[in-house]
Amino acid sequence: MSVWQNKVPGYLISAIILILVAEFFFPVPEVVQSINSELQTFTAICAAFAMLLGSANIMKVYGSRVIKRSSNWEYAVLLLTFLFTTIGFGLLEGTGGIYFKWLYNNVQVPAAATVYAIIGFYVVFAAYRAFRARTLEASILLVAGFLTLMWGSSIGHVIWPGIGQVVPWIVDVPNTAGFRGYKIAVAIATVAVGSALFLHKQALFQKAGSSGEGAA
Amino acid sequence: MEIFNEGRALAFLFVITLTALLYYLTEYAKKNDVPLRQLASFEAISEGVGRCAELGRPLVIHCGQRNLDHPEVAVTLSALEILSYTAKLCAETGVRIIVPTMLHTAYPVQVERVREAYMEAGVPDAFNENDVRFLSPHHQVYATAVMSIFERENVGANIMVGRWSGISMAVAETSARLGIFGVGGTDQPDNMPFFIPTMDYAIIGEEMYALGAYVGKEPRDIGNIFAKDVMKLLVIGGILLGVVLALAGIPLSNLMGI
Amino acid sequence: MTFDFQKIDRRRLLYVIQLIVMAVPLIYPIAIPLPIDKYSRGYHEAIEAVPDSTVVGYCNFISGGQWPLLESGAKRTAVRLWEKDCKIIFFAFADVGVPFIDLIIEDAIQIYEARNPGETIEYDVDYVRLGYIAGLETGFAEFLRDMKGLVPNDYFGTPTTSLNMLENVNTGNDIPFMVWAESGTPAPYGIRQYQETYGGTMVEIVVGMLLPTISVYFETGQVAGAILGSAGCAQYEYLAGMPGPALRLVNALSLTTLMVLIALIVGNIEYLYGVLKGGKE
Repeated sequence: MSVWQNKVPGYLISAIILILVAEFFFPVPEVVQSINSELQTFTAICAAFAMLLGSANIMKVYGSRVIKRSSNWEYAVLLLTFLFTTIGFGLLEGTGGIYFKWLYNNVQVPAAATVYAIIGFYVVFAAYRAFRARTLEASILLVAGFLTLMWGSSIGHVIWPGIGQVVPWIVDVPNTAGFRGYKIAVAIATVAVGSALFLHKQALFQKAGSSGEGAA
Repeated sequence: MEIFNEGRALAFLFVITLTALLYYLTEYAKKNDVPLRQLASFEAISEGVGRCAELGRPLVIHCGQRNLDHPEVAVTLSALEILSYTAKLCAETGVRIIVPTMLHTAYPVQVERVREAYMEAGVPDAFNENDVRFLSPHHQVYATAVMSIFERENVGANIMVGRWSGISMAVAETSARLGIFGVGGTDQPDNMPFFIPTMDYAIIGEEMYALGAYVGKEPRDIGNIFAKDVMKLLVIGGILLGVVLALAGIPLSNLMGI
Repeated sequence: MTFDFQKIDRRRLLYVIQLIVMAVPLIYPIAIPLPIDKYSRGYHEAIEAVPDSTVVGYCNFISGGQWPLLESGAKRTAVRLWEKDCKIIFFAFADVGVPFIDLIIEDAIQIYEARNPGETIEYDVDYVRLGYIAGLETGFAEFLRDMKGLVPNDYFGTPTTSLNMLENVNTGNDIPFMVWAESGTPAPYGIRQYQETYGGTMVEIVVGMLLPTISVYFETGQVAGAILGSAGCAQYEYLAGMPGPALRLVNALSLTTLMVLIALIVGNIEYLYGVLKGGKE
C-alpha cells in the first residue's frame, strides 16, 4: 500500500484527535475553538452523506434482482417503487408535504409499530419455552425478572402490595451497581478506541498486516 | 494561570494513563505471547459455520445497530473483527455468507472485510458483493427484512453481534422458531435477556470486546484488551480507595474537581 | 370425535390466548389501581418546577415502533410546558424523529386548545422547529456550543438569526431545561453533552426496557425524572390531570404482563416436572 493510503490518513486522524481533545482539557486560543467548530460541522455533513451511500446500495442490490429476474424479483420492484415514490414526494414537496406525510404516517408508522408490537407475542413464548431455571444463575435471573415484571404492571401491585418495596431495592442496589460497572467498562472501551486511533493501533477498513499496525 | 479546564484534570490523567498502557502493552504483545482466556463463544462460531457446511445452507451474520460515527463504537469494531473471522471460515468451507446491515457508515467497511476474507482464503471469485446488503437504517424495517431473509434463504446459522435495540428480540425469536443455530452477542445489559433464552450461545458484556481480539489474534487487539483490563484493575483500586477514604470521613469527591 | 392435545401448536395457542387477553380490557375497561413510581413522579415534579417562560429544548428520537407507547407522554409534556408559557425548541438528531415532531406538535396544540379555550399556540412565540441535525453526539456538542452557527435555518427555511424566540438563545447555557425523548437504544450523550457540561435539568421519555439504564442516571440526579413506556405515560397522564390513551392501554399491558408471568411459571413447572421424572429437558 502507498504512503498516502497507509500513513497519511492515520496522521490526519491523530492530528484531528489532538486538536479536538486539547480543547476539552486545556484553555485553548480562539483559533483552535474555531477549527474544532468547523471539524464538528464537517462530521455532521459526512454523516448525512453516508446515508446516500446506503440508499445507493439498496438501488444497486434490488435493481440487479429486477434486471436478472432473480427469485422474488417482484418484491424488489415493489420496494424500488416505494423507494422512488417516497424520494420523489420528498424532493417535490419537502418532508412536510401532504403526500410525503401521508405515506409516512399511514404506511411506515403502522408497519413499524406492528413489527415492534410482535415483540410482545415473542416475549410470551420465549418466557414459556426458554426461560428455565437450569442453573443457579438462571434461577436468580428468573426470580429478579419475575419480580420486576410484577412491579411494572398494575396487577402486580394488586397481587402483592409489598412489591413496591422489594423491586426498587433490586433496581437501586444490585442493578445500579452492575450497570455502573458496565458503564465504566464501556467508557474505558470508548476512550481506548480514541487512544488506539491516535496511536495508529486501530484498523477500520482493513485488518492489519504482519507489522501489527492499524491503518485507517 | 490554569493549566486544565475546570474539573478535567482527573479525566486527563485517566486518558493519558490508558493511552500509555495501550502503547506499551501493544508493543509488549507484539514481542510476547499474551495468553487469552478460553472463550466458549469462540467455538460457537466454528460450530455455526460447520453446521451450515453440513446442511448446505447459508450463514447470516450482522454487526449491530451502532454506526461508526457513534461515540460508543467499540462494540461495532469488535463485531467487525468477528465478521472478518466468520467470513474467512465461510470462505474456507464454501459456506455462503450473507451480511445484512443497517449501518450506512460501516457498510463499505463490511464489504471490504468480507472481500479481504475471501482473498485471504484464496477464493476471491467466490465473493458476492450482493450478499453484503444494506437493508435500512430503521430498526423495524431492518428486523422485518432480516426475518424474511431467514425464511427465504433457508438460513442455517444466525450470528448477531454488536449493539442492539429491543427489536433484536423479534429477530432472535424468529431464528429460534425456524430452528436456526443462533449466536447472540452484545455488551449492553438491556438486550442480554433477549439473547439468553433465544440463542444457542450468548456472548455477553466484556466477552464481546475480548472475542473481537480473540478471533483476530492481532497483537494490537490483544494489547488493547490487556490495556483495558489493566485500566479496569486501576479503576477498581480507585473505587476501593474511595470507599475506604469515605468510610474514614475524607471526602474524595473534592478531588474530582481538580 | 376426539381432540388430540398433543397436536396443538403451543406457540399459536399462546398467541391466540394472548390476543384475547390483550383485547378484552380494551373493549371492557377493568378498574385496576395505578401505582405511581418515583421516575414518573420525578418527571412530573421536574416539569412543574420549571419556571414560567423558560426556554426548553425538546429532542425527539421516538420513531414508528415506539410511537404508540410514548406518544401520550410526549404530547402531554409539550402541553404542560405551554401551559407554563415555556418556549420549546424542537429538534432531532435522528432522521426518524422529525416526522413525529409534526405529530407531537399538531396533537399537543389540539389538546392545549381544548384545555385552554380561546388561547392558541404560535410559531416563533411558543415554539420553533429546527428539524434534523446530523452528527449525533458531535452534532449535539456543536449545537450546544453554537446553535445558530450549526443550524442557520429552521425547519421551514427561515434564518434562525431572525427568529424572535431565539434572540437570546445561542448556547446550551441559554436552555435551562431539556426533554429527551429516546427510542429503544439509550443514548447517554444527551446527559454527557448537556447535563454534565451545562448543568441544566434533563428529563427523559423512554421505553420501559430502559429502566435499568435510566435508574443509574436517576440515582445520581443527572436525570430528574423519566417516563418509562406506556405505563409511565399513564402515570404522567394521571399526575398531570390529562387522561388519555395510555390510561386505557395500561390495563391491557397489565394483563399481558400477567400472562408472561403465568407463562414463566407454567414453563418452569413443566421443566421441573421433566427433571424430577428423570426425562430430557
